[in-house]
Amino acid sequence: MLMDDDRISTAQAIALAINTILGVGLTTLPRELTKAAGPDCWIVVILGGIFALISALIIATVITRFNGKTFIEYTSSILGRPVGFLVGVLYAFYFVLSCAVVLRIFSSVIKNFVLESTPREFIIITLLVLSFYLIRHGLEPMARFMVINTPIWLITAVAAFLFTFNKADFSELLPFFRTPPDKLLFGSLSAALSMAGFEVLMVAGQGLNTTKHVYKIALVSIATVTASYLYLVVFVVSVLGVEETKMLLWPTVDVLRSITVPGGILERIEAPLITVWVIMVFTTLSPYYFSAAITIANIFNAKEFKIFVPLLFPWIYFLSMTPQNVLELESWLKFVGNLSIGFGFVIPFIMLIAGSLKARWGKSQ
Amino acid sequence: MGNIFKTLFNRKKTEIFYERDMTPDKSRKLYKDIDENIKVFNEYLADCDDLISREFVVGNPNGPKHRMVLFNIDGLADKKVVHEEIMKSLMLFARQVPLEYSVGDKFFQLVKDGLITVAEVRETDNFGEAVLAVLSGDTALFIDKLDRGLILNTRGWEKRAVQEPSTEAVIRGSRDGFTETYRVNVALVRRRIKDPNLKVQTVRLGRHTRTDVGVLYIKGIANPSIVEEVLKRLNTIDISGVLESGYIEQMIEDNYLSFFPLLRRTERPDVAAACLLEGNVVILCDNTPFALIAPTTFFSLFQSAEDYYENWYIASLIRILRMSAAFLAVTAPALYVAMVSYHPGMLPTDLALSIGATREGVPFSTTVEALIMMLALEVLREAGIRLPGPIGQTIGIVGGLVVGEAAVRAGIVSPIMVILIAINAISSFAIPNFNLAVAFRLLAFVFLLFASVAGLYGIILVYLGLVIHLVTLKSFGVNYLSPLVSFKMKRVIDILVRPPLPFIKERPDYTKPLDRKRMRDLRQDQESEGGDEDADGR
Repeated sequence: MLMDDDRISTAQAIALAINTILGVGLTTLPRELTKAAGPDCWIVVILGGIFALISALIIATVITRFNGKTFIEYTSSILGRPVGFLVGVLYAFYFVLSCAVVLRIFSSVIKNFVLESTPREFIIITLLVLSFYLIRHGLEPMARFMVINTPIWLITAVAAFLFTFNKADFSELLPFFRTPPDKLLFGSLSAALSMAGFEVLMVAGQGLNTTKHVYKIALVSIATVTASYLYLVVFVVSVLGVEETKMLLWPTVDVLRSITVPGGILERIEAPLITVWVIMVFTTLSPYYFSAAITIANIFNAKEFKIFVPLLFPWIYFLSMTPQNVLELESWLKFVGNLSIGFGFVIPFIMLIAGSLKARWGKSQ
Repeated sequence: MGNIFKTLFNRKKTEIFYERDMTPDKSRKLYKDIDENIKVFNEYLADCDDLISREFVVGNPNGPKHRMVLFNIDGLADKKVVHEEIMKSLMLFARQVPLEYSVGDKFFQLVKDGLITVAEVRETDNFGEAVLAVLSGDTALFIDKLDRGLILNTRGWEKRAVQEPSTEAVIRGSRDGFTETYRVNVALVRRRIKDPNLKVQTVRLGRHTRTDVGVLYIKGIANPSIVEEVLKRLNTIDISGVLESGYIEQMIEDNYLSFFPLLRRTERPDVAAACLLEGNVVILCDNTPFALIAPTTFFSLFQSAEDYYENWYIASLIRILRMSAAFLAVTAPALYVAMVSYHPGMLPTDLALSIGATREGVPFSTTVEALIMMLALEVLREAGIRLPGPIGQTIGIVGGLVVGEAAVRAGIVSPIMVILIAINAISSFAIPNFNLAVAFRLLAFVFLLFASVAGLYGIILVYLGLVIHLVTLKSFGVNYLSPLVSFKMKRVIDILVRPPLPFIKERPDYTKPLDRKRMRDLRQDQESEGGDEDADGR
């Protein structure tokens, strides 16, 4: 349970949502989208944004009905106590799994591009410990942390890709609209999957100052994320070309490696850029970790969520160490992606319907 | 047995303070008999050789005579005032007092209202107050056959004159600094803010030192909740002595584990006045020239008094310079170590080669090299402070130039490392707040260690930890990182740019001032009026 003064404002919630969504997905997104839709990948991003917005709006509607209840309490009240309990457990599992996958992808990128000989355990544990340190302070300090760090990665990212302008060949994105609609739709689904993360607000929603502006939160955050992805995909594809983007494991990082800074102070700046990306990963990891802890606290109706933070630590760590290689990791990623359809869309949708039915039924009584 | 009883009895008698809040024990009343009073007073201050007691007789040679006694502490009371304004008045002028006034209460009133030419005179009927007053530099006067005494303000001791503050020198700005005397310090602030709303609340702290601690704020600007919080925290201090405002700082700060200063300190009355006008609370402490300012934010520690006296672009430029200096002070060695040992690809080839060439023959790793140099510099700095002025400079030259040069020649450190550590140290001296500079130097070591373990990733880990720590810090309920956490762009830009004065129309909002408006722009009003006239004319 959250303390009474641990509330976040609308703007903080927007920052929280954006920071949660943007993270590890950035590294692989251009590959997935070009595989799905070739040069039309940017259309896929926009379509995916629309899908993500729909699911975010559903979640937002559910949040407005909380009325001061926690997520689990609300679920229990409309679907019954056992179902509410089950949903809580599933969400907690999903959040823990998301943490693990985020950490694992992160450590792979770091090992590949920055610290070749550093053990994976060190990379994962250090970031997890920091996340532990942050979320123990509660929701509001976490949101404040997001707000402070947003301009840092935003400015760095926008500026970094501008340096690739001279290498970019925007004709790579031509011709438009050559992809068949079924492929476009399928591609936009995978784009929408990389916009998963809004569901943390389902559990963090209890900490909102006011639920009046939840739709604004959904709209602004998903719009920002879509714009960022659009920017990213357009630059990556036009620098690397469609075919090469499909081939590379982490196309975004390869674009960053090709950047040369005018002036000649530094030669290759992918290491500092990846370091800034660490901030983005951290701001994805922490909300998931926090959501997992608070969900479990809500299940047990505990007064203080802090005791569940260390309890989750080993689970996240061991899960993140489980995949044996990149291929296995890829299948895990797909699994979590598919789960996010369930947790970001299906369950909120069921709750929306159930809540409406219950409200109507209650009125007619 | 009797002895023990006597000791106990005596102790009870000489303990003048019951309460922690330093209110004197008023239960022990004065006697009518002056001999009894002298005896008890001397019991209180037994074995205090600096006590001066003077018995004398006052009165008309033909009329009634009054025995009087006065007590004060040698060195604390102003002798000239005692001689001229008390003794002389009583012993010479009292002779001309008409007979009908020279008895009993009437005489007491006359002495109080008409004879003593000291500005501040208080009455007392107990020993507790009298003893405390005497220990503070006042003079206590007892008159025979009266159970009331007078406390005369004769405070005047040898004190340091108002001088230019040594730690916060400015190029432009007033040259007076706080001194060790509480009242002088309050006066220095009062001279700048001639407003009845400038309130001064004094509390006494320290069971033995009974130090005057003043809480200054401007009523109507300062948020009462912050003032109350400051007073509440001051009242929780129960310590044997307060010798410097540092004691108070450490007792009332929100998080004593953090090495960031959670209270700003200043030696300059103009800074104190400026902060009061922004809605802060200033804590002045006797015996120290350092005032404390609460609440404090991280970015206010980067400000210097001059920022608001100089032209806005100079001030803004300097502000940005200070920020860059802070960045270098914290990360310069760490970045170098990370780049050289983990990410050599980042460096341009020529630079990487030249660094490699200069490191030829250096037996240590870059980390050890950096540690050696940083530690040597810290020792030099400390040695320079302890030694008297000219020798301190010599040490700086010998240590910095001669040893540095020799170390490079001997191949112990590379010249680039010397340059880097020098930049690092100079940057840390560019930060106006000493505590913050020390915190940054400590952080530089932490960053260096992590950079040597995990390169840039280590640096970003420390950065994340640092930001988490700063985000959770509060100073008197105010976010330490404000205004960065707010969404008001205007405030956020203030961190780097000091806007031209006509544009700073509002007080900063971190102090939650009652009155936000700082300025009314009359010029603008006139212009808009003029504009209206023009419009009418057309």
